[in-house]
Amino acid sequence: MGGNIALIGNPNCGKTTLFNALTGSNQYVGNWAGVTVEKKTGRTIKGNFNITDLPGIYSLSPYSLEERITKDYVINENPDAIINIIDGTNIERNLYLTVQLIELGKPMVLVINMMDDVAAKGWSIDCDYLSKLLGMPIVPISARKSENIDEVLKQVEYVITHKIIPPEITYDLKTQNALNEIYSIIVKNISDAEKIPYNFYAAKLLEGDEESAKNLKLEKSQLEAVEKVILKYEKNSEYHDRESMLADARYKFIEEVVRKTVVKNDSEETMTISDKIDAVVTNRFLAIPVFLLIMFLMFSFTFGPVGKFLSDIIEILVNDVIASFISEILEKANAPQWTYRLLLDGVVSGVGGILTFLPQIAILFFCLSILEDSGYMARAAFITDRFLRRLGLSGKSFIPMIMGFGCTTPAVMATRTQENINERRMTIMLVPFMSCGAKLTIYALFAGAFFKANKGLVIFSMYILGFLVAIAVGLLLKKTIFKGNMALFVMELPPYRMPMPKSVLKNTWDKCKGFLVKAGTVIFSMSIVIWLLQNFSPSFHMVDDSSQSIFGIIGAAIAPVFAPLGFGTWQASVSLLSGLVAKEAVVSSLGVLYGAGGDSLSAVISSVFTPLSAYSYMVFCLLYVPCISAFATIKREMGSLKWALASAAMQIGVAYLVSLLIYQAGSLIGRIF
Amino acid sequence: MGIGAIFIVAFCIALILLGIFIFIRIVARALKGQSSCGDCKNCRVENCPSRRKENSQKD
Repeated sequence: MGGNIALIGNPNCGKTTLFNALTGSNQYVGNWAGVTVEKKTGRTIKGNFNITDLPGIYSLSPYSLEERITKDYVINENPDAIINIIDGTNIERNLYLTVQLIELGKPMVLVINMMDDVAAKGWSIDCDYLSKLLGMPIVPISARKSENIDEVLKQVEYVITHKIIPPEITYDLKTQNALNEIYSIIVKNISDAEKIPYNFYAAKLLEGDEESAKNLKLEKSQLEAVEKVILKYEKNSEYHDRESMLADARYKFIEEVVRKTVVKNDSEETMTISDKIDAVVTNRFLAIPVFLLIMFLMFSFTFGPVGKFLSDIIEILVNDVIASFISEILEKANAPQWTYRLLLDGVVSGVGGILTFLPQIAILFFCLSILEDSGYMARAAFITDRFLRRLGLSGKSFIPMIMGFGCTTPAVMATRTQENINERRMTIMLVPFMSCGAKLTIYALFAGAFFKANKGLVIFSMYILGFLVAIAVGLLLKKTIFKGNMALFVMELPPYRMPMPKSVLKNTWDKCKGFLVKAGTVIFSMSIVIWLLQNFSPSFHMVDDSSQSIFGIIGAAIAPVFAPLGFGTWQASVSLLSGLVAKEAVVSSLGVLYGAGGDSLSAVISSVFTPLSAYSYMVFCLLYVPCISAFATIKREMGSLKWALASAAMQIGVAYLVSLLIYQAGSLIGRIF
Repeated sequence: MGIGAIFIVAFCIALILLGIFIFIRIVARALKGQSSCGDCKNCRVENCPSRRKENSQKD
């Protein structure tokens, strides 16, 4: 037994969690709407089904790209069965999509998720009766707790084997008459749409869907006849609007079904815990201070004693154990001097220096995972959208920008949800200003060396500065290059949930694994290449004075450009160049260039930079061009090298200006006081 | 130079070649638009070359 199954449901109702449980995949799951923006397919662990997880939609009347993806898949790919997953705590609204899916006439299983939350609310759902009313099997589950998951596939197998198709829904008399009349007009076009039943197209035409009329290749006379039926239908209704009328008919049907099958708690009218928390955290005056406080606490915790303690352990491991071990072997073998320099100053300083930041990365993403899993990040998007809208920017830009805190590459790709090309280009240009995870290593090094007492606060200021610069540049771009109206942003706030330890730990581990893989590939290769460029002259002779090396000469040529920003040394200039490959390489290359790692690197840079020039350097690293992988993605997503280069030039210009402003203003203030 | 030193020199040269190879590969792939951030597990966007490859291997 096998077949193709479509997994469909509203946004944030647990589709990906169920998909992961059924297929054993590890797809990303988040407690906010819009996590899945493209369909993904996997094979079920049990049975032999191909299951496709589709982006969440509220109805089959698509407005945005991801809604169109789902609709097109169901209509064009013709899956053998549909699993419609719904949120049991929001059953009325979720059943609206179910009613539309029933119209498709496919074998279908209704999965009611979040049954644990339903029980916690004191509600009960009579699944047997609901199954009888809708004419399809119903499986109550809790996807997060993996409860009753096996039953889903059993029922899928059953509906495919016995071809159980839910019966057509009978709406009120006026709607039903209108549907029947349309049906009789379009019935002769049957050969053009064998896969989709006519009641689906009749309903679509009644809603005024032009795409369906095109698919059916209706003649002019048929279109006129359909229009006549709709006008008559509109006249008989209080709404006088075709789309609202059919929606009303569907909701009347749903209300009746819910009335018969769902028993809700009498105290439902009172505020839920989520409502109470939201009353504070999304309050128009408190929202931003609460958001800033949470972020500040997170950074303080990340760079507090726990992170420092763990970093120290790794440093001891790298410097005292691994470096000593390598040194001992080289000594015993009487190896030449350059092998010491390659292995200790190159590989160990470069890769080892980066590894000491692993605990901070882990703690920060652990905190972010908790915030996301609990549902707070969706509130952060909501709060910031409110703020951005006042400035005339679209809240749709915010989700990619928040993702930019993790990594610029997927954040740039996430802009695909924006239909307006100008809006999308603008967001792509702003995302690199967000402080990605890789830049954290630079801040941790410099803030640790210069601002020990206020490490968390200084790093937090980088995140805020990146965001503020993005807003300022966004406003400037909107007033000049990208004029026009911004798309409306609608976002659903999920209920607060206790973060699942498994999901939080998995997300944290994935992030750490990604960091370790990067250390073993990009940083490792960069360390060797930098070592070579730092130890060889342009005529490929080994040099003792690294200022005579290839890098020394290149760095010395560009260093004067950075002198007004406070870091006009060739090492600082060269490390910025290596940051073009990966931002972590800035730290590893400083390690290689100064032949030090961990605390000893902090001590070296303390003698080369001042606190002000260190801050200016951090700001430049925050704002200048992203790494090569992100740049390639920007080029691909913008569809033109010209736009990508313009974006890079703009970022370098902004980074230079802001750093210059900070260093010169800081120096001036320092001279005055 | 003893056998140990010869072995270490050979190892270091291999390491250098490996480093150069990985570096060129990373840069070339990125310029061709084939590389991603490598953070597929945390990614919400499916339509990226690395993720597609990962999914097809899983299937």
